[in-house]
Amino acid sequence: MKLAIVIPAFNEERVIGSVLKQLPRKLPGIDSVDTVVVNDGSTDNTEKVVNSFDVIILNHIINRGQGAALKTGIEYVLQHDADIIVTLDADGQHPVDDIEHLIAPILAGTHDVVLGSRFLKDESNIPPLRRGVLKLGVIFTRILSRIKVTDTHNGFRAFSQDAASKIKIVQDRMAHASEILDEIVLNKLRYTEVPVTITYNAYSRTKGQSSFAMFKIAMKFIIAKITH
Amino acid sequence: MIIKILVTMFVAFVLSRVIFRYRDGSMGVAGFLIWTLLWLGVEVFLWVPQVSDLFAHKIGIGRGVDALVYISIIALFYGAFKLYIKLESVEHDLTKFVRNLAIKDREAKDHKQ
Repeated sequence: MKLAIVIPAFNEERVIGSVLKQLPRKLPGIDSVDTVVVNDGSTDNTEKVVNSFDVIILNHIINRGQGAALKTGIEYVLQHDADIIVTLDADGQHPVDDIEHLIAPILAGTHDVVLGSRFLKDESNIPPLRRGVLKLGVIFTRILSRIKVTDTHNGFRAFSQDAASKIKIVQDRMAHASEILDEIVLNKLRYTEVPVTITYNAYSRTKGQSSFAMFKIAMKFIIAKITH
Repeated sequence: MIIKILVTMFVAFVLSRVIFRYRDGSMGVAGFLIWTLLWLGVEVFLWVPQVSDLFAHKIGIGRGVDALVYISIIALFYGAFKLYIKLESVEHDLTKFVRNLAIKDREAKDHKQ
């Protein structure tokens, strides 16, 4: 079994090094782990930091958004026969120790997609405004995509090769998160959620989406649903 | 009267641009006809405003000027929507280009190693 970890990164020179340092080299049931960082047109030293690690880097010459970067990484690892693909954020929000739990249902062959959920664990570390907006996102997704999940905008996910090749990401920016859920339903993929802890600190708050931006993402997703 | 002359001069300028673009092939027959009719229509409404009243009565609006304003707003919204779709399509093409370049560049490095 070949595992590929795809990390989209945009101006993450301060933290991406510590994320890459923590990534597992070996995991039970996995023969090899490849890490692919998609440097999404960073204007800082992200590329230099990433190049100092034994990982694969794909460079977008200009910034195209997280959805676009994810798709680039997924397309590349599929071309290189990855069996399981894990995606995570470069800002250090996602605990890499949870990768093992995230891929377990795929290794067991019970599910095609595993989604990390911050709401299946203790929620007390989630800022109240963010929690409210995310809960609204859950309701919004239930209505629009008809999928029952507890966390809609969590970038910590795992896909089987088959699922990753079926899911079509068209949205370049943040609306891709809703789009992935839509694709899971459309392709009748078996999905489950596993609890993950998201680390909120001053850095991740400046890098993450503002709560207002979440509304913009929702609008973009609705327009995309109408126009496509 | 001055405003009518100024608008006519502007319409003449726009029509000349439409003809140039049609001639150099950057505008299709459909685009040429739509834009020509639209600007000629502006001229008709400008010089024979009664036409707009007749038209307004037919669609159940009191004054011709009101009908023109309503139609213009709808046309502008439609134009903005079309532009949005076009822009999205250009953005997607750009992403595809950037993606292919990133993967090709990586593969070239992989082959070298």
